[in-house]
Amino acid sequence: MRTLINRLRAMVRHLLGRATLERDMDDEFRSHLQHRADDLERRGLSRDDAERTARVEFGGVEAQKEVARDARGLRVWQDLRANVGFAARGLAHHPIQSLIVVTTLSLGIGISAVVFSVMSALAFRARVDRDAATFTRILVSYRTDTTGPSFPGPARLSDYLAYARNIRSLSSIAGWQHVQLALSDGARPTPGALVTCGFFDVYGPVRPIAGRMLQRDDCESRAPVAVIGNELWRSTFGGDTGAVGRVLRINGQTIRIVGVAPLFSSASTDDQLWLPYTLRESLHLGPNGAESPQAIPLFVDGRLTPGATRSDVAAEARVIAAQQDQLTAGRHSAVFVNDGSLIAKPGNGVVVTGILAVVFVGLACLALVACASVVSILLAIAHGRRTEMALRMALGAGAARLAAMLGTESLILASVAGAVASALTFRLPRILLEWIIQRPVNFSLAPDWHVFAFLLVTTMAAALLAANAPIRFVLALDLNSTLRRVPDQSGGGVKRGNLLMSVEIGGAAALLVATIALTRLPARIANSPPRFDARHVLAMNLRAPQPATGKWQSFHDDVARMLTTVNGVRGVAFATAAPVGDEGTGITNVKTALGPGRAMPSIEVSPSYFDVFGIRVERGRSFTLADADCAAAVCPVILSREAARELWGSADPLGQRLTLDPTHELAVIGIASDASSEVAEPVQGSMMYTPWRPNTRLYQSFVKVEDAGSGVMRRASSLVSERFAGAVAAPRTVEEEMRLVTDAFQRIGEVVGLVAAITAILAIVGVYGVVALAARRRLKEMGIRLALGARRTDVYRAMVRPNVRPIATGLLLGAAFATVLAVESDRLLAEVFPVRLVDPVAFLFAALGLAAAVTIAMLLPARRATVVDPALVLRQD
Amino acid sequence: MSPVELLPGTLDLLILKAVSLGPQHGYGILLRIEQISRGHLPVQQGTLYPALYRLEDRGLLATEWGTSENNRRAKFYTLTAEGRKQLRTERSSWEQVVAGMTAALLATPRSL
Repeated sequence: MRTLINRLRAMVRHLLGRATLERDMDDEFRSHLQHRADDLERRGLSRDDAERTARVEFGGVEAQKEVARDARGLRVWQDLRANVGFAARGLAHHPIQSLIVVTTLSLGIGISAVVFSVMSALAFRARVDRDAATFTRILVSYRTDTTGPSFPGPARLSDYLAYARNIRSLSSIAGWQHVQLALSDGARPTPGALVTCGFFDVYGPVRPIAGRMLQRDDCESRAPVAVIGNELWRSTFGGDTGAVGRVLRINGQTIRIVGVAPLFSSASTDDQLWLPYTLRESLHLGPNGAESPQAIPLFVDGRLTPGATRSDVAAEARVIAAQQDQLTAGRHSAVFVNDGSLIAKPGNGVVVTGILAVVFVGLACLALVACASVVSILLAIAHGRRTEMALRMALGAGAARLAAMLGTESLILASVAGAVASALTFRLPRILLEWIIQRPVNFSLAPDWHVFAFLLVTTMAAALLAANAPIRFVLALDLNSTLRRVPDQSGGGVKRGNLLMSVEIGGAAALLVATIALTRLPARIANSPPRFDARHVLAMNLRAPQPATGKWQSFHDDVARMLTTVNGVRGVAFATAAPVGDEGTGITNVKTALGPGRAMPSIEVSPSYFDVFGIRVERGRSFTLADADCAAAVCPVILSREAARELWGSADPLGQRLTLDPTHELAVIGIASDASSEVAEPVQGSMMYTPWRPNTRLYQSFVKVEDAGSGVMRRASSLVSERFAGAVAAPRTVEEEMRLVTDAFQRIGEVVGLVAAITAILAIVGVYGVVALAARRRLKEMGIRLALGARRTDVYRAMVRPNVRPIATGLLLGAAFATVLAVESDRLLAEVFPVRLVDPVAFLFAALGLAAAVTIAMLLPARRATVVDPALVLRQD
Repeated sequence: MSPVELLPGTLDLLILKAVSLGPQHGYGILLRIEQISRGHLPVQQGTLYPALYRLEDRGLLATEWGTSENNRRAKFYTLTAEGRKQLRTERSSWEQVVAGMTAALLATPRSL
């Protein structure tokens, strides 16, 4: 190792002091020759003879110096310098082509890196600003003897306290929960979080803009204090540091602001208020007693103790969870410990991986097109330099030497592009993401080592790919014919050009199809509304503190009574979700008598649900008041038509039974019409409706109104805040809620569209490059044809025809690829996104648009061959 | 006995040994190797300097310009501490090779 360091040090010294080194070598060899000549002179030779003999014995000073340079490892650098010089000269001779290549590669690598950067920040990293390696999240799923397992989520408060007391493999631990808070003006809900007072230590240290962050004393003394977020500070206090010490009315309580938090990365990223969790009762957000089942559950995050691993945390947490389970009869906890990233969250793996796969396939298309485009241009440049390269080969330059020369050229181009791309990854991801979600991003999007590794790999891959074709072209040159300027008639170049063209067109077509499909989505949804009344139903988005009794029935009754008094309201229903399926839609595992078990989307609904949404119960009956809170062994269920078809095909579903577990069954009492729109996959119409259990939880309230624009929303939300302490409502029509999803898709479509447009331009430039190359190669042939009486249209045909097949192949390949992509996306997203992506119109537009653009790109260079002067071309050698 | 060709890898060892006997310039090292090998191991002039530069770059030899016995300016090579250590290591390996080779070549059917 030491020897290696010495050698490297010496090499650097020699490179920096090259002139001294050369002078030293000259002096030393001269000294050697003089000493040898002295010796020979002493043996009787004359001085002249002695010096001549010494030189002959030595074997040529220059040759010796060359061998000595080799021994010192300087040859590599010398070659590199020569290669860089060759590349620089080559690029300077073709400035426009070089610029196109660098721009193409920069866009190709840069866009890929930016998207990768966003995906990496969203999916692969916990939202923390420092040391993600030690960040740890504990999620708990609870199951009782009468219920199935819940989705892994926050821990019960009493369990959190047990984890905080006993887990030794975490050096710090924090609990938090999102809450919607009613600020002084009443109606507007503000997102906030109830946090344990170590919260900012786990996510920070967060240095306040003004005042201080929460301290342990705040939680212990239940001090009515809060830290406010940057956005609230600016909007409410105009960014005045005097806000610290002022008070806010939050959920009817007077709370003093003790500090202003800067933007910092955390899971509670959208929150604008952080309050001690011990204030929950005074803020009407749950009882104080930690043992109460109604106590607010907390998400648990922590930092690993040095030397500990997440497995250690999991082992400790499972022991503690088992001890806690013993305190509650029939409760079983399952503990999940992960790094806090989206992809590590239980249940997210398949969907996130699916989305990532689709994104990466898109990026691969872009990369392919960019590379094909670059290769075609570099091939054109290599073609122009073939005589020079043939001369070099004739003078003894080996294949390795030529490959190194051309490889250096590609490496320089790719490195410049890589540098531009890495500059883009610092700024663009935030701009892109903020535009898609239409609000500031509060977490770090700075590129991490994943992004730089990705950049390095893509840059190297681009350099290798770009170098490959020109190197092969040059090495395959026939020296004899090239040096005699006989046109190369080999078919290899043509085949390679065709392949490049197919790849370019295919990649661009696939991306264009995806773009057109995504950007058409909102219009398609608008033109094909769901088969229920989304426009006249308000989703109240009601949040309210748990009633002191722990029972929700009377609250639901009061809300329904109150809402029906609002002018313009025609009906009120309660349910876990709207009929198209949203985050409130559950999944219930059921079994028919014959078939295998199935996971069915399910919603718990109150009897008026179908009337409010205008969903017709086509057969059997709807739910009645008596069906609520079903605790019998057999409970009623209403299925959508599609669900019934999936379960029993053409057999009569009425009266059929579905088994939930050995002691519970569901009996089908009615069949409702499918609620999904016509553009949705049929499977998205599948839904299972079960009766609600009004006492167990707060249900989402849906209000049927005459006219959503008549101020009824404002009246309803004011009334909620007035009548119920701590309750807030943010009503929106169901149609608007659905549009939020489609708008996000439209913006994603626009981003993809931008990428696709760039890709298409790259592809068209690439096609132009290929056809221009062919035109240049066949200039003499066209001259002969014109001289022999061919018409211009014949020349156009001769130039364009060979490209028709590769272009058609590319279009077909791209369309086929996009079809597979869309079908697979539909399959993956069937449960979360209510509309099909497969869109024949998109295919047609993409194919026609691209074909038209490519035709123009072919005709322009072909025109050069039609205006050629036969006499002039034929005179050239 | 007539001169023999150097075995590959032995030139470095010979140079280190020659320099360990006292600082020498390039031509002096050539003569000294011839002298200490009693003329059996002549070194080609063309192979000397690449080997010297390699050893210098590895930190085994240090150099300094001075005046030779002929009153000419010359670059003198001396052994560094690392070079001395390397000489010991290479010498021990060489002795093992020689012992092994000698034993092998002296073997007779009776000694098996």
